[in-house]
Amino acid sequence: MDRKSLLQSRSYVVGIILMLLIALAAVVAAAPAVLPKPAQMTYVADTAAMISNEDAAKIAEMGRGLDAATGAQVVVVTISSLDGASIEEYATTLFRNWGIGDAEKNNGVLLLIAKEDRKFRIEVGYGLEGAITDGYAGSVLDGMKADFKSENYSEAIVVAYAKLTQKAYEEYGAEVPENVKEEADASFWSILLGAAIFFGLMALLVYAVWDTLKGILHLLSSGHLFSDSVGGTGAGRSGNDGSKWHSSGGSGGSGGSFGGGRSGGGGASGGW
Amino acid sequence: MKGGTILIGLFLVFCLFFGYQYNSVKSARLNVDAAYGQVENQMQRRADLIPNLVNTVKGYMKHEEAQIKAVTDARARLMNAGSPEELGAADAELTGALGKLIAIAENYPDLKANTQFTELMREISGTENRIAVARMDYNEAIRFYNIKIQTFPGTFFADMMGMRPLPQFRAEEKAKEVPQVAF
Repeated sequence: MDRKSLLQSRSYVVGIILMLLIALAAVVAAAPAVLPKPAQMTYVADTAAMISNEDAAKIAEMGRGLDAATGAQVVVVTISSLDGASIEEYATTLFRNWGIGDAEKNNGVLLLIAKEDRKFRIEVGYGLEGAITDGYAGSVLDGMKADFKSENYSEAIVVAYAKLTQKAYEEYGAEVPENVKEEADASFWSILLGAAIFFGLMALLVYAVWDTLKGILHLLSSGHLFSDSVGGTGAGRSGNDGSKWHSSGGSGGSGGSFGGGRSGGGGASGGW
Repeated sequence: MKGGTILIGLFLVFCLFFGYQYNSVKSARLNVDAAYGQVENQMQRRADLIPNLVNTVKGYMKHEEAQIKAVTDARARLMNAGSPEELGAADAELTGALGKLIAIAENYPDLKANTQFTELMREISGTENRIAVARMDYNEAIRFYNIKIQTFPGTFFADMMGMRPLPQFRAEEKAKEVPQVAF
């Protein structure tokens, strides 16, 4: 081969390689790099260490139950950072990469939380859009806001997960198991507890005031001083404080796998 | 006769190959149509939410008739859109008009406290995202189809079947901004 055609063929090859690289870059740049699909099915992928081991186990239990009963898969994923991607893009890409929910029924739900970006999103597969409307997803996110603002993540996530799981059961007209109902209403119970404490304190206060008044009246009528004191007790609530959360993959479903479902971009996003 | 068997064998192989390629190109095209249907679907869904939104908002935003009308008109244009290009343009217009309306809604705290409004806004936001995803899927289907009919051996079949490369659904810059309401 003479020099000219050798040169031409070499630059031809280089040209092809460059084109392939550019094409590859274009494909790769299109979708954000998301958390890789775990080798084993899991309902909790807590890479940002926001969920306690206990709560992760609770979530896994609820998730397994739902999956076994209906084939619907609700997955919680926490990440540290979105790395510049929008949470919608990230959620949709992750949802599809992992294939959450049954491939036919598309009944997957993803609860994605990006810790440093302070954003969260619920992405719902087509099959569950009836039960988990965008409006409902938004309200679940709103429910988490207050707790997230005070960094009380783990509990809030369990409640949100339970609510979503409950709705998924309802979509199929299936019986909602007790543990799910309990967790979903956790906020209800803590409000009730708070109310009980409040009224208890009020009652004590009223009693204290009344007693003091009685004492004063008695004092005035009998002419000598004595004091009565009623102590009120403050009710303390132990918050989650600095115990180490393990970044657990959760005890995922044994023998289960992601169903290969897709999402159409439905759901709601929010932040705190 | 050995020669004859080989010939028949080759003929069968050719038929299978032909059939496979034909199906491949055809199904790529059908995929594109299905994806487009989904885009229209989601746009329809948003269009259906608009009258509700307009009714909720009218009572509160008494002096903003102009902007409300802009949204209603843009919606009408969307409903009447024919080709993908028209649809794309109408969609961009509606997104812009909605965006402005939502920005104005920021000045009406009563409206923002209205639960129906909040719910509707979540639904519309969700639908905007669905539209974005549907368009992404549509463009992906088109890309796949275009590659199929412009590379070997699809090229031969494409010409035979009268299939042409399709343009991508271009998102105008305005349309990329999804209206968000901060609560």
